[in-house]
Amino acid sequence: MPAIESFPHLSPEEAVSQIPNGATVAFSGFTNAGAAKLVPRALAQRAEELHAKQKPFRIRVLSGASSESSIDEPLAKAHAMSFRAPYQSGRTLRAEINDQEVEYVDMHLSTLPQTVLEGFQGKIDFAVVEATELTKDGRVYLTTSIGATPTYLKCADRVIIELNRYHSPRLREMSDIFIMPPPPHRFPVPFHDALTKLGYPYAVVDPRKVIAVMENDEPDTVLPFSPPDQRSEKIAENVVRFLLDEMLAGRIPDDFLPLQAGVGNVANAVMGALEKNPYIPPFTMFTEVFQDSLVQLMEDGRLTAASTTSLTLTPEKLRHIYDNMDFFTPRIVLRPQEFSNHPGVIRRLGVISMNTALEVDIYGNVNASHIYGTQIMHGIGGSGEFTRNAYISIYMCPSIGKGGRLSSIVPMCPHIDNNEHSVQIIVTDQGLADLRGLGPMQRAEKIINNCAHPAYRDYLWKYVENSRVGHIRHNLEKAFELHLNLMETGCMLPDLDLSRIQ
Amino acid sequence: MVYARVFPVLSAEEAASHIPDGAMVALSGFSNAGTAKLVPRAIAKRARELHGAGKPYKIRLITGSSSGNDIDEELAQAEALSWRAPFQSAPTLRSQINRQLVQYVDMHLAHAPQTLQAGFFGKLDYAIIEATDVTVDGRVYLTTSIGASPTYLKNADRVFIEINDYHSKRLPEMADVLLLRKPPREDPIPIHDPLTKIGYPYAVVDPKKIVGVITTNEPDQIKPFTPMDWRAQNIADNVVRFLFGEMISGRIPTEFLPLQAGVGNLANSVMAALGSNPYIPPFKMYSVTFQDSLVDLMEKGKLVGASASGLTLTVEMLRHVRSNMDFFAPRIVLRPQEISDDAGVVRRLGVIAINPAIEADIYGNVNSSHLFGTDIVNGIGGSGEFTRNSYLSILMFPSTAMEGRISAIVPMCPHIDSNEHSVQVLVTENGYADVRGMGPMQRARKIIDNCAHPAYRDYLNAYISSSGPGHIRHDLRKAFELHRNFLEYGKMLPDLDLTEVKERI
Repeated sequence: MPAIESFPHLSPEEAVSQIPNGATVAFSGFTNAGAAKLVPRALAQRAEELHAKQKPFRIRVLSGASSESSIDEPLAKAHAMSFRAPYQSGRTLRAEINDQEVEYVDMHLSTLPQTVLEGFQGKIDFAVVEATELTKDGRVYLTTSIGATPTYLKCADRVIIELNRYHSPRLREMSDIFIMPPPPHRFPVPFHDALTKLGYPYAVVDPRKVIAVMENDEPDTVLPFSPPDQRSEKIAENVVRFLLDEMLAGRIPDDFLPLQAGVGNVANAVMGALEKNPYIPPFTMFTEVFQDSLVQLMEDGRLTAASTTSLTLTPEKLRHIYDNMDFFTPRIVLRPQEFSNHPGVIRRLGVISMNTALEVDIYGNVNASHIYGTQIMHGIGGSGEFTRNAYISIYMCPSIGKGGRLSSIVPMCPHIDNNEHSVQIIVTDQGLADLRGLGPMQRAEKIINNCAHPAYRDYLWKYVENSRVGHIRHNLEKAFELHLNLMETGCMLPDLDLSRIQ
Repeated sequence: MVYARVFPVLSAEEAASHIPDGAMVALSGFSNAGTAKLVPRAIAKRARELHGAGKPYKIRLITGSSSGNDIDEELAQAEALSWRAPFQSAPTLRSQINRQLVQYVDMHLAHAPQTLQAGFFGKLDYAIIEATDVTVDGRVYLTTSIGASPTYLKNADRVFIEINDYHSKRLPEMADVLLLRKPPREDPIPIHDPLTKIGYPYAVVDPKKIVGVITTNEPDQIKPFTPMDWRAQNIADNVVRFLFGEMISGRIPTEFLPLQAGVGNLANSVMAALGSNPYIPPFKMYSVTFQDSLVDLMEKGKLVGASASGLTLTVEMLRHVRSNMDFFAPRIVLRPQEISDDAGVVRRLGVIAINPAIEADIYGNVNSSHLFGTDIVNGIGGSGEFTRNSYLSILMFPSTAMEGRISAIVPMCPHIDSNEHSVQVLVTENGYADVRGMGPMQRARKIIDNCAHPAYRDYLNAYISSSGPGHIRHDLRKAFELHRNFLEYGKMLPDLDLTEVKERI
């Protein structure tokens, strides 16, 4: 670390003592990948100490996406946050958001950097960034995620760098960093495929802004996925069959189209099913998160290239990549989230998007974020920008939850993240509804017959029949009856015989 | 004309007789601008005759966007439609859609051509395209709109061309036609400015597919706008005040950013207000339709360039443009809707999107299409793609409707076209709510205090206080109480003294 002498070398505690109550702090990190680690922990400790002395201490927090164990949970447990954007996860923070203790702005991820750059988020007082190296002239080599970090480094008044020796310095070979100039003088994003690079291997910071550098040797905390359950496997099977049919019908070219997959177990099951299917040709991904299941796919030659903004990998998988950088670096590009999720590029490359919903209504509107329309789970994340601009947009969810007490197909979603105008395919363990070119009532028929669990189909049909006739049929008195039942009785249909469902 | 020596010249009735029951038919036209006129009318007549003889006859119809009164209305009155996409705005058709007599696919407009080309709608049997000229090698010079016509010409099995001699032969000087290839498209759309041209002045068709040419001489039927009332004036003033404030604070550059404005009276008023404000610098538009008020702005030098997909101009205004083509042709570019509404270009240019809406909820979700969540008005049109991808997204509407019986700010929208994640600024005649960077409850505060009509504020505040806690506070029992009251009593708040509200309307 030759440059470190040029910058103040502070302990995390010394560094956070400069961060006052009410400051806006932007952290590196997209998921736990590449998240700042030392400073958030020290901030949490400082908040607890100050709170013990009855002194107020809360900061406004921005990052790339969520960073549960590195940022969100430590700070939430210390009640150290007053504001959070653009995404979050973690049980404590979620509870604080739902109690209105923390103001949360749930945002499209690719627009975030632009809104920061243009001052829509107010002044950024501090950026706290994990890096593998910082040079005297202000080049910052980032670690396992790019996220919105380049923009934070540019806009923040003061900067703290966590140099993390755990990460491979060769990560820069994957990095492709660029900040778009403000409109209207932007040029088209010149990506021709998942691997096109247009920028630099490093982010840039004015070195005079760096108030502290500290060292660290700690891997990202990424938990392994549980093995797919029967429902996830069914969903995955349905997705793969659909993609194959589209290819045979000539609606997906023989060399396939780039895939995007959301985060989580269902997405993981789909990737597993794609791997096993010999008829799916080798493919590329244009996505926001590179997860464990993709490592094997890449080594098997099934996944030939991936564009992402983070390597969200368990320590073993990340170690495996670091041990085989000659193989992986030419096949993976890490981009700022402004580009990994760019609507224009998604549209042009014809990305097939696959995301997970909490619930779907019978007309194809999707709730991906708020239980009962009120309780936040995580947020919209990148699902909106991918779904809205995809060539084919797929939403997946199990048909029922809680042992059948809950149907994921409902008459109306009490919160809508992606609407009927953008959602094309709905998949559950029951089957698949292809909604392209269908009017609302035709969509309802497909969704109820193909996707809803049989135990809920009668109810959904009756809802339609007893509704006001219109282009879309709804009964505004009963639209949320299932949700209200669940809240009150613990079951969407209180008379349902659950034993028959198991 | 040369085409007459190569292609059969048919009467509209002859052309319509080729089109069988159940056919999928595409028409040129983006709103009424550049819409095919004679053959659709003959199809309506044919439908009436066949229905009179007890025979079935309905077609599936796709266009650029709506085709207003003369085409959609006539076909609907003849009960000649079974399916319609991607937009509509005719009263009879609307009522048929709401009675489930016509299946309607309400779509993002930029997506419609790609969806058709990809085969997601099935086979396209016929395209009927209005043009100023067609050459023997298949160049088709389109008229006042480009819309999705280039895609329809390419994908239809058979084609009819309506040559309309009414239109200026110089319209191709404005046209910039390029058909995007199927994904994965390796090259970005190289538009650097609303006036960049990247294509050809004509669309292309395989001449072997042309079944016949029909000739006509008839202007587009575009209704004039109603004069601005004081509420439209207030809304327009609030939009201008907001934009001016953004410029002063440096969040809009002093050279300004390209504007998009939705269709209709309100958008027309806002553009007029922007044009008459001396502190707003000359600007460009990257929009979908070019409406009457823009002609004047362009002549005054306030609007220096405009990109659109259709010239939606009344007969006099179009005549005026036609007689001054030396002035207008270099300042207007007409593009396929796939490009005029392209997500990447809208994002890149930093477009400021200004669109009308029906209602918004207290958390910033917007309903642009369905009354009570059930009855279609027009559709989402281009508002979704502009709102979602713009640099600044503004949605505007009067705070009440039907003399105060309806509040346009409600606890929850029963249909959501653009959601809280994409909507940034709401404007009514009472003020504007800039909700950027705010959590839901902070948004609710702003929207109720600044935008809702004072007569409804107490109700909306009480809704929140009686709702359970959460990131977003809702009471699923009462979320649609206002809508249900209206359906039952004709008033959202049955006890509201309307005279009190009226004074402020």
